[in-house]
Amino acid sequence: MSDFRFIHCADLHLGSRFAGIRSRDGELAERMTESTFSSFSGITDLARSENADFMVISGDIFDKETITPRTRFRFAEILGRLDIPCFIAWGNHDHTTSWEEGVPLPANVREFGGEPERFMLELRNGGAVEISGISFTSKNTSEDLAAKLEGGKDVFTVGCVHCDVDSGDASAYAPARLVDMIDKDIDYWALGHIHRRAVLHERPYVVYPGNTQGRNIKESGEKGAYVVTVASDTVEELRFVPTQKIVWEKIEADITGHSLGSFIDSVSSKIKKDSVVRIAVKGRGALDNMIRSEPDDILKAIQSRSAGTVADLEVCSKPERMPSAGGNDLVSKVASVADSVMGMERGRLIDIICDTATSKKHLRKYFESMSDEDLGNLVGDAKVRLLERFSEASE
Amino acid sequence: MMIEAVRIRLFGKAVNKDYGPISPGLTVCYGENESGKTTLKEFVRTTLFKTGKRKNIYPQTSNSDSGEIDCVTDSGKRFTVTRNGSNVVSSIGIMPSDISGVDPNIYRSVYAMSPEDLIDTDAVESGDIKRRFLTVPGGENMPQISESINIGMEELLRPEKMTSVKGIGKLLDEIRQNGEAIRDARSKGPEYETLVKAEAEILSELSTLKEMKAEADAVRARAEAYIKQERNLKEYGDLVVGREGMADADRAPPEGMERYRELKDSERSRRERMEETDRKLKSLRDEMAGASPAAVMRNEERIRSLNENIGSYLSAASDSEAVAASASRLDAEIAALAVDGPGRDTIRNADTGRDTVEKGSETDMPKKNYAPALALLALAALCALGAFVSGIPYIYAASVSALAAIYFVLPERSPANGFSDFIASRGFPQDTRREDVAGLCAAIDNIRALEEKRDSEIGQVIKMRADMEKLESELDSVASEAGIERTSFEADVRRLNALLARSSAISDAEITAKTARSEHQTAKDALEGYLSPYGSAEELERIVRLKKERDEADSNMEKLRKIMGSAGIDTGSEPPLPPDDPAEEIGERQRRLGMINSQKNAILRDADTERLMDVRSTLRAELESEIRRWGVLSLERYIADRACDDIYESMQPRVIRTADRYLDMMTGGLYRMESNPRTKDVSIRGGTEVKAKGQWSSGLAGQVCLSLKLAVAKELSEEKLPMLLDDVLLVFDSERKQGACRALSEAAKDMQIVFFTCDRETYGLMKQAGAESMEMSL
Repeated sequence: MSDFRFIHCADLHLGSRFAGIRSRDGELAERMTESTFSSFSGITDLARSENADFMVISGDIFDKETITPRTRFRFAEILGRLDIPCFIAWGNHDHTTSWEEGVPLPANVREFGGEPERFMLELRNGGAVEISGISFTSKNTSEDLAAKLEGGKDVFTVGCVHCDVDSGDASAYAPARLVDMIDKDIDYWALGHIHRRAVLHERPYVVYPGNTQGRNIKESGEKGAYVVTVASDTVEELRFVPTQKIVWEKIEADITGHSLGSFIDSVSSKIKKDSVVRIAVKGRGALDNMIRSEPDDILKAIQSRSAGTVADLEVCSKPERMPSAGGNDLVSKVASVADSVMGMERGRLIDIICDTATSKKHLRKYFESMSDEDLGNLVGDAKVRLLERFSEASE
Repeated sequence: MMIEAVRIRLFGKAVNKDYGPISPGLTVCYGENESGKTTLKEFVRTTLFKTGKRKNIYPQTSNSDSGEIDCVTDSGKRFTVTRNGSNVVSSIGIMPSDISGVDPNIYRSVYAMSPEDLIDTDAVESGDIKRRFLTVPGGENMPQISESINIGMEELLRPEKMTSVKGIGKLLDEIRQNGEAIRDARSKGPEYETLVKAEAEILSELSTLKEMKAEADAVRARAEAYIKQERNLKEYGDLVVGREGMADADRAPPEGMERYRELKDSERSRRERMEETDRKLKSLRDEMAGASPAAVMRNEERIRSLNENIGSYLSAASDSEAVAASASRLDAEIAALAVDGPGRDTIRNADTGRDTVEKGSETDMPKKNYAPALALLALAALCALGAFVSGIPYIYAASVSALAAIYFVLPERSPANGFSDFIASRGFPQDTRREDVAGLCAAIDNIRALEEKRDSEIGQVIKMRADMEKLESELDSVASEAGIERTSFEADVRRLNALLARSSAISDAEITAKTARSEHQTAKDALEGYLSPYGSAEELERIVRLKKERDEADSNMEKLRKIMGSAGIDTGSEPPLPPDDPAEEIGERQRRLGMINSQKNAILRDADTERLMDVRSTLRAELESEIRRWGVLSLERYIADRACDDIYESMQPRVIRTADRYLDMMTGGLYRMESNPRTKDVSIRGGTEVKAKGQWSSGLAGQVCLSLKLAVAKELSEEKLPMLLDDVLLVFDSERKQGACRALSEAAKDMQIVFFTCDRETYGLMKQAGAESMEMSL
């Protein structure tokens, strides 16, 4: 029977960039990129303050697009300050580089290879814990890596793997089934891959800690690591500790009844320091047209008055008057046609958007990567914007 | 509005020329070149629709221009426009441009056309015309909207070709450049790998070179050492040579002279000991003073016994004297008792004590004992005889002395008297009576007790003297055997005892001396045996000395070897030749290593890649935003197009319909006109073929343009303005001219048209089409 404590984190994506920030402010960009390192550094501080016995990192430490020798060097530097064993299972973003051996990791790090490995760790209090793990060896794999792991019957075992649980066999990221995992002699599944933290099962625990720093609006909310306390070979406490330096948030802003000045003041006051926000513009009013026609100017005006960072505006507001689609004039016809376009199937919609030679060649892939909802939003924006053009022209 | 008459006072070359009345329909004005056609047209145009100075247009306006134009509105109001220089006034205060609201430039393009205006098809597509006439209900702003959408899209992405000047193209180009920069920057990864490999290679080389350098340094040091150790080397060589002549040293015992000296010392000490023991033995023997040690030793027990009895002998001698004295005193006491008491007879007659007194009287009588004295005398005589025979005077004297002593020793006893003598001697009364016996019994008993005591003491004296005699006899025997003359018992016994000790010492000394002789012999044998291989001590000494010298040589050689060995010199080898020093190569490798390290550190510390990636991230975000904008604009355009298509299917604009009618007339039905209701771009359909503007022949373009301008002129304003056409059919062939005349005749039903020409054919065709004719000349 062992009593111990460990830190579980995953998906550090060190050095990866924030998505959707159009500002060319180099300092802001650097601060955002630095936040992935700062969050991980915070996790190692957490390990020290919690007197943890060891740490497990379940993959995607780096980002295949952004990894450089400096990234790995800084990771090694941070780990070097950690005086406890650290177990690493590599993920799909951690595919090997030719130079990585030139930047060695410190001696307290044990890396799992492409075949399952089991380490018996002697704890400071004389007890023992087993860490069983396996790594990705390529960018993707359809193999169920979790199924390859085994644990000891008489010892608390932590299974460390980067995998995709219950997302179907078609997944290219080590698809695994929860029902198979909980049937093994593994007491705590320290997983990685899914960026939203989740406890899929208890006893045995199957845990995704989420990523350590949100990098886009889809990764909103607090990010960090789990502190796992085990007493008498039983998970006594599973505690999430946020370590992110920047929080992504979506805030709503209603234009109804607002002048431009009051709207900007109202929105900017809602934006907290060290947050990156998407402003969802709601309501109805004359500002709708202004925001749609000059979104960048409005964004800059809000940004200049706020403590945090404005990533973008999601304009869902409506103009004061919306022409109906039932009339015989061109404007009514426009509304009617826009409604019909809204119902078009995805491929046709993309064909319409990319109807020129250059757009076909250069832009199609971008629209194909958009969700149906995003494409629908484009149509909605087009309708509102076009009707506003008619309105502007008639004034 | 129609022009009824024109009067030019001065304009260009025309002076005081009157034209009119002019037909309200179609009028053809024929004149040769320089007949004033253009002058008339330009006077009317520049007067009715004032524009700024225009270059290359004849005639140019001037301050002296003057004249009048008589007009009538569609509603029948007549007015005259008077021109004096640049000042143009209307007699009824209404200017034609004010009536129609038509821009002077449009008027010139549409109403006052010259041949080049038919070529300029763009004119029919200019904003105002399109905006005002090529539309449907509610779609007046469509061209503007379409244009703004197109401008927006054009800003983002040119539809026909990507450019990197602005918009998405620019962003894509920036992203491409950024990607290349990132690729270059990220090549630092492989570059880092290369550096790590190169570093490992150089470290390996460096290690080898350092080993080589260490070896070279060592060799060089050895070579230098050979030079420094030259004297030692020579000395070593001499020692080697000298050592070769010391082969005899091999015979030297390993212990050198040590053993020899030990053996020699041993022999000497054994010899000295032997001599010492001999001397000691002799001394001991001398001390025996003629006594035989053997005889003494043979009588050892007896001497010891005598020695032990010295005390008892002396004690007996002393005690016997004392006891004898005591006995004498007892005798005297007894005698005294007898004299003073009852007397001997009384005592003898007493019943109870007579016998005792009698007996006592007798026993108390001392009697001389001659037997021992005789025996002693005999023995003394024998001794004296022996001494006499042997001629040894002192023994003889001793024997004589002994005899004398024995003689004197013999007690001299006086004859004792009876009881009565005794009483008498004691003064006892002779008449002591028997009856005094009882009284005297006690005295007698006392006397008897004293007598018993005296007798006992006498017995003791006798016994002691017998014992003494026995001892003397024993001593005599021993002394005789030992060969010593007797003196006194004690002295002789002590002398014998001393001789016994000496004899014992002599015996021990003899054993010691024997042992010493034996040991000396052994030591001597050992010494001689040890020396035998060498022949002599001198030879041994020589060999040992030789060995010592060789050992010293060896030691010196060893020292030299050590000294030279520590200096890296192998005495058995030649001085090495120093190899090339790799110091320079090492320096070069270290420099390269330093460079690699700094390059590695630069890569590890390099934030350029990060910054480029930050830029990429921003560019991508911008691109995403711009693409989204493009998507919205593209959809806007599509929605607008679809809406226009749908609505224009049922609502064809009047201008296009009119122009289509004129074109139909001009082309004899070969071509019909269509227009894009969104852009108002005109296209021509010939059967199933649709020709856009760029696909028109010049003749067709002229026909389209004329048709469209006629239609526009008809629809441009509520007030129908007169058209002044300056030989616009010159570009047409005869067939097209004929068709155009038909169309102009048709158009002239709705507005006044004045057609100026110098072409006879056109003039004729115009007249055939029903035009009023007017021939001009200046």
